[in-house]
Parts: sequence; C-alpha cells; structure tokens
Amino acid sequence: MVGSTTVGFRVLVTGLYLFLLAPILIVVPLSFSDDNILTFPPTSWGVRWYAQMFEHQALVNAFQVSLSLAAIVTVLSLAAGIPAAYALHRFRFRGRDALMNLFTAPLLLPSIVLGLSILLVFVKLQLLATFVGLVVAHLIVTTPYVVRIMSTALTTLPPSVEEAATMLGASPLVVFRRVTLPLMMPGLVASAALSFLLSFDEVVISLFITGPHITTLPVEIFNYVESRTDPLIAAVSVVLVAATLLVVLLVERSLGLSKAMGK
Amino acid sequence: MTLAQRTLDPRPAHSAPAARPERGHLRLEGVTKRFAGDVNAVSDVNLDLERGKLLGLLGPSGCGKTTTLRMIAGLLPITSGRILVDDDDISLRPPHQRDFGLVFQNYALFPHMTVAENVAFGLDMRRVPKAEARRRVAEALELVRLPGYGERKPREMSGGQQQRVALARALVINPRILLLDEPLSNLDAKLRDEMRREIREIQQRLGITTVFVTHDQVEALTMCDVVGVMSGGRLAQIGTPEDIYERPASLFVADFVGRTNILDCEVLNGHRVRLGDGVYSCAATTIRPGKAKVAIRPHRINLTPHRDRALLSTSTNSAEGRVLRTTYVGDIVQYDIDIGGPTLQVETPTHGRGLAVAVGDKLLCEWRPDDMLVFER
Amino acid sequence: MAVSETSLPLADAPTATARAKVFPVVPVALLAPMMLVNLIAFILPVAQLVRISFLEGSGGVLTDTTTIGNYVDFLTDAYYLSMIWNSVLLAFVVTVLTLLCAYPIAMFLHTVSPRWRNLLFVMTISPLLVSSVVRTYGWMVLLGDQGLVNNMLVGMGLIASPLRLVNNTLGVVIGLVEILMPYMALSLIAGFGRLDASLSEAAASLGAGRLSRFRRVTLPLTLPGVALGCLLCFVLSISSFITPKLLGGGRVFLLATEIYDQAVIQLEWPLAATISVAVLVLFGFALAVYSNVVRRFD
Repeated sequence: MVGSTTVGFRVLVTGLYLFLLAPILIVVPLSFSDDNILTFPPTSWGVRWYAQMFEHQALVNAFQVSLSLAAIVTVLSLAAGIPAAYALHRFRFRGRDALMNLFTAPLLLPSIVLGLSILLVFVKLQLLATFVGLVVAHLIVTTPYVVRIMSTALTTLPPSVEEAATMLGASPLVVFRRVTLPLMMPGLVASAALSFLLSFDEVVISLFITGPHITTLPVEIFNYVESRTDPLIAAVSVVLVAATLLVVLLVERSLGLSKAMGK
Repeated sequence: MTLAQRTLDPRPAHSAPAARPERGHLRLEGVTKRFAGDVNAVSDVNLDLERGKLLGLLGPSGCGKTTTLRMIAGLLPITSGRILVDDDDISLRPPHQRDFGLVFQNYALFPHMTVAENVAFGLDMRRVPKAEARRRVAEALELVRLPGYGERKPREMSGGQQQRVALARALVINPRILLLDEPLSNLDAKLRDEMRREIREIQQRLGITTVFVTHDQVEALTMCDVVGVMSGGRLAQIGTPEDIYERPASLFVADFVGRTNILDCEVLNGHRVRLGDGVYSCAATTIRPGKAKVAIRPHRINLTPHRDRALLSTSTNSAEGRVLRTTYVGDIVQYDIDIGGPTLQVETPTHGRGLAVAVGDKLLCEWRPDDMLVFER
Repeated sequence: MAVSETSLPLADAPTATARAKVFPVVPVALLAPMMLVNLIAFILPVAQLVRISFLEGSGGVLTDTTTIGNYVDFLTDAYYLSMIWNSVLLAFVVTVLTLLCAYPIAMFLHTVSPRWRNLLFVMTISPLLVSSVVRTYGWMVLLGDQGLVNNMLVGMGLIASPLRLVNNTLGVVIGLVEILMPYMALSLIAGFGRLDASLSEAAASLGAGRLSRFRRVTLPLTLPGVALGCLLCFVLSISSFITPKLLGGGRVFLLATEIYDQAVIQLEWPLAATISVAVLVLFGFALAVYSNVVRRFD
C-alpha cells in the first residue's frame, strides 16, 4: 500500500509526540519531589509540595477567585452568547453578518493588545483590580466561542422543526423550552465547558487588570514562577491538569467529546 | 399575539377540539404577500374550499404555492387580504392558535423525542389527559399503519415511515384544516404512489379539509378534488382535475399540466386556424384573427396508415405527416411527425405488437377540433 | 433596523401591514447583552488604545495633547527598531520550526487507521487544554541548569557543565514551538483532509517514487493548510507573552514583553499603545501575505 509508513517515520513521529507532551508529563514526577529547588530527576521523593500548596494563602485565595470567576463567567457567557446566536440565526436584518463578525472579532486580537486596551478603559471606569472587571474582561474571551459554537449548533437545527411545534399549538416560549433548547444541548454543554476552561486558564489579560488585592490562579502562578523556582507549581499543575481532565471527561460522558466539538 | 387577543379568542387553542359539523370551510380573499424589495411573492389569491375537500396547489418552484400554504398556516404574515375559516377571520392569529395540522416536506420530526412523544406533542399542548393522549396516539399510529412503533426514535425509521409519523402527528390533534407541503417529494417513486393513495384515503375517511402543495401534476390530478394552478404568485386557474386538464384557462396551464404540443398558428376565424401548410378546425375561440398559439395533447392524436385515408370522417382534422423519430417508452411510443411545417409529438399506447412504424414512413394524423385549443401568444 | 423573520414569528404579530415598521423588540433584546459586553470590553478598549497612542503623557498621567510623537519616537529609536526586527525574526524561525515538527504528525494522522487517528488527534490537541503557564513551567523543568536534559547529558558524560538552554532566545524558541504545535497541527490536518489516498496511489501507478509522490502530489495539495498554519503561528508567536517572559528570563526583549513592561511597570501608556498598534500593523502584513499566497494556489 502506498500510505504505509517506514520505521524511521514512526520513530520521528513518536519523538515529536514526546516533545509535544514532555512539558506536561514532566510535572507529574516533579510534583513528588522532596527537594527545595527545581532539579530533575529529584534527589528525594515526597508529597510535601502538595501539603505546601494548601498552606500558601495567596495561592488558595487566587484559586477561590479563579473558581468563582470561571463559574460566573460561564453562566454570563451563556446568558449573553446564546440569545445573541439565536437572534443572529433566527432573524434577517441588515448588518447581521457584520454583527457576527464583531462578536467573534475579539478572537483575532492578540490578548496582549486586548489586555492593554482593557486596562486603558478600566482605569477610567474604575474597574481595575475588581472582580466585576475580571468578569467583564473574561467575557470578551469566552463569548466569541459561545456565539460561534451555538451558531454552528443552530444551523444544524432545521427551522421546520420549530415550526412543526408551533403548528401543534406551542407558544414561542414553549417551542424554545421543549424543542429548541433540548436540541441545542450538545452545543450548550460544549460552550459551558469551554467557557469555564478558558476563563480558568486566562492569564495575559488578567495580568493587566489584577492587583495586589485580587488575583487569579494563573496570574499567581505566573508571578510565582517568575520570582522563584521550586517544585510547588508542579504540584499545583498536576491538580490543574487533573481538574481539566475531569471537566473533559464529564463532557465526554454526558454527550461525547467529538459531538461536543461539533464534528 | 397579544394577551388580550388570546382571551378574546372565541376558540382557545387549549380546549379539546370538539367535532363541529361546520369545521373546516377555508376561504382566502385577496391574499397577497410582498417581501422586501417590493416583489409580490403572492398576489391576490382568492379561493373558497368546501369542508372535507382536498385542494391541490400546483405549480413550478417559485410560483408562490408554498408561500400561500405558509400564510394559511400562519408561519408567514400576510401583507394584505383575509384568511377565513368557518367565516372566522384568522388572518392575524398566530400559528400556534390556528389549530391546523401541517406536514412538512422534510417531515420535521423532533429528533430528541420518540415517535409516540412526537405524536403526543400536540395533545400535550392541548392539555389532553395522559390516558386519553396515550389512546389517541395509539389510534393515530394505527391509522398510518405504524402500530407498535411508538418507542422508536425518528432517525431509526425510513423516509416513508417518518412521513407517516409526521402525518399521524398532524392528524392526532384533529385539526380544523390539514396542510401538506410537498409531503411526497422526498420519497422514491413506488412509495410515492402508495402514500398518495393512503393520504387520499385517510383524508376522505376523516373528511378533513386539506390543502396540498405539490409540483407534481400527477399528484394533483389523481388526489385532489380541486386543483389550483399557480404561476408567478397568481392563481392561474382553479377547478376540478378534469377542468384543468381538458379546459386549461391559459397556455401556461395547458403546458404545465400534462404533456402537450404547443405550436405557432394563425387564427382565421372563431373556429379555424392555419398551422404550417394546413388549415384545421379548432375548439371555438374568441381570439381575433392573427398570430396565436395552439395546444394539442400528444395522446389525443390518432395515427393511421396512409392507405386508410378513405375511412376519414369529415368532422375530424387530419394531416399527412412523415415520421422523424420514434421513441419507445414502454407503455407508450412517442413519434415526432412532420406535418408540413410544424412537428407534432404523438403518443400511442403499445399493444405488444406495435404499429411497425419506421422513420421516414408516411402516416395520417387525426384529431378532433375540440382537442385543438387556441391561446393568445 | 428592518427586521424580518426567517420562519416562525417569535415577535408579537401585530397587524400584518404594519409589522415591518414595528420596532424589533425581540431581536434587539436578545442581542443587547452581547452588544454591551462587546462595547465595554472590545470596542471602547480598542478605540481608547488607538486614541492614547496619539496622546502625550507618561507615568500614568495623560494630557489632552494630540501628537504623532509616540510613533516618531518609536520608529526612530534604534532600540525599538531592532526589537521589531528581533520579534519578526523570532516569529519567523518559530513558525518554520513548528511547521517542520507538526507536518510529520499531520501526515502520520492521515495515514493511520481511524481508531488510532482519533486517539492521536486527541493527543495532538490536548495540550491546548493545559494552561500555557503550566506548559512553560514544564519547559523550565526540562531545560533548566538542574533540569532533565542537562542532568541527563552530564550524567552520560557528554558535557562537563550544564548547557544554557533557558533564559535566552533558544529557550523561548523551544517553548514557543511546542506551545504552537497543536495550532499548526490542527491547520495541517484540515489541509490533509483535501488529500485523497487514491491520488497518491494514482501517482504511484504512474511510476512516481515515494519522494516524488510527496513532492508532486502530497505537498502541493496540503499547501493551503500549511499557509493557514503558518499565518496562525506567526501571529500567535509575535504576540506571545508568557513564554518569552518566563523562558527568556528577562533577557529576551520582544514587542509583546515590551508592551507589558511599558504599561504595567513603567506606566508609559502612550508608548505601550503605540507598540500595540505596531503589532496590529504587523498582523495586517502577515494577513496580506497569507491572502496573496492562498490566492496564488487557488
């Protein structure tokens, strides 16, 4: 067969996968290091950095902020993004394509530029280093994905199905609740999971608008790594990767990941 | 829909529809739809459909037949005119309060519900008690010959089965009017024949007023009590299938419904036309002498071997012709025959023996004057 | 705004003749929250960014004087000019290396059986779900003086003292290539979708060897994916901040790190805004090159 691969090619691909996954895989053994400094392989093993993690007040606080932030951002992203996607799908009006482009445009702006821009406006709006400010800033990161995913989900939903419900006597609200919403569920779950992960991992924009009194976990990790090098962050990373895996598995269990990705 | 409108509505959508004798008399008065850009999608459609009758809206794509159906359904607001059911003006009533059944071209079954849940949806909306709903769902599935299919999901069923479920879903609510939007166009030819018969039978058994949109003239002629032919957003003609076929009101209708020869001619007087080299008798016409068009159905032309000429009756048109081409179709043979100028297409049924006609043979074509219709160009 | 519905009337159904002129309450209400978010966190900020790039001021204090001085200063300063050059060069090198690393993976995914393909596909994009801070930290562990690579090399006796793999441009390049590989792979896989196995077989039946099949069939057909992937990587690496900041150890000066330093540490907002606009202009250039390339191949 023409497509068959040589041994050399397989070795090359294996090496490339190793390269791709190495920085994620390395933190797992490192998190069980008992050393004071960053050295690999560790000279002795232990779980002291996991214990340290819970005693590091700044990290714990930042974790709590990030968690509630991601939860609120997820809810608000869906609340803003789904009606918008629905309106763009259901109504025809001039400037409809332009609005769609506007809603997804923040995806194209580099986050370093977006972060600075938001900083410059938030200074005036007194939103700097506030929880509300973080929510608003994260929304601009998550909503483009929500609008895009939901638009895709809606285009696979034939309008005649909703019309059929209408003809059978369902009022617009009932049509939405009984037909539209259930059929949008896969897109909705995917949007929610993605919003949560994006907000929880967001770092560049947050760096611009967090302050000494309020900071998110990725920002705290960034600051920590920048100033100190010890295995504490490895322990944190393992927890984060495990949590991400959990979210992905939950989505996979509820509807199948490939389906959620809209494939 | 406003709240006030709903409370004032004499027939609330949620009351179980009682079988009322006068239910289902549909009338359209000057119904017009204009979309943005000032193009009239549907202009001034008038029709009066008696209770229990099946109306077929027939026309090519883009003629406005589906737009008309959607306006009747309430899915498209009308620009002007009135729609009345049992003398009750429903023009402004939202679709979910019209109490009509609609079967979609693509069936539009709810993919997340089972067949039984699909059929029960309308009953659920009408707050029909669970036990009664279960009974009526079972009856409806029985009616469309799908008993015991209730627990399936739509995607596990064939196109024809989905079609039946869609029909059951529309019928179970006992609608005032049943609307069918090209329901058979996604089925293969054999299944289409079967469903055609079945829909007609159910419609007659239930005595339900029905509007049926189709682009297939066979469907319209074979199933319907009344056929409305639409063209360019207008109702070109409305009448019984026989009216439409035998007495088309316009060249368009003659051409669209059934196969026909359309030829240039010259009107000589109220009952004679010149066609090519010959002069023939035609059905009485009021068209003034001059250029016009003439229509003759291919199967209304008789072919006779040349030597039988003596047998001709004088009240029949006859023309000598030369066979240009023969096409064997199976049930019929088509001949292209040059009758001295125009070429006539003629169809004769096959008998198994055949006419033994070859290209180049000379034959006589005969047809009755009544089968020769004259239209403005 | 003239609004009409594609299908079912969600809005109230007032008189049929008047409905086109009625204020479209429902769509506007549905769009309003999204518009508000977009206005506060996107439109206003970008407008403000451009405005401030034309204002005088420093140390977090802005005047109302409009000037193009920021741009003149920025574009005449040799330090910044070399920074632009370095950033573009780095992005270019990273893009080429990412392409070289991701192409074999995409090609392999195209040839393996569907069962393996799904698993490997998930493996290829899964790093996207892991924070770039964490992945960058992983590289610090791998490449540091006491890291895995150096300890291994020293342990094997290949080198006497640790190599300097981080806190320099090399570290930044290695980290960025790895961080951007999933994006490149995604674009390439999309490009490989156009490649039908039978095409390669057809070429083989015509006598083409393995290499010429790749050069004459596979490569040209996958070029659109290559172009898209390169655009994406170039743009992402020129605006990347976390990786250069952490793996550069404060010794690698790029446009993105400069924006952050000027804005957050020096509080030189007009300068930071000016550099940001410059980054956007570079984006525009990359996009123009991309559309030119794509047009030539279509």
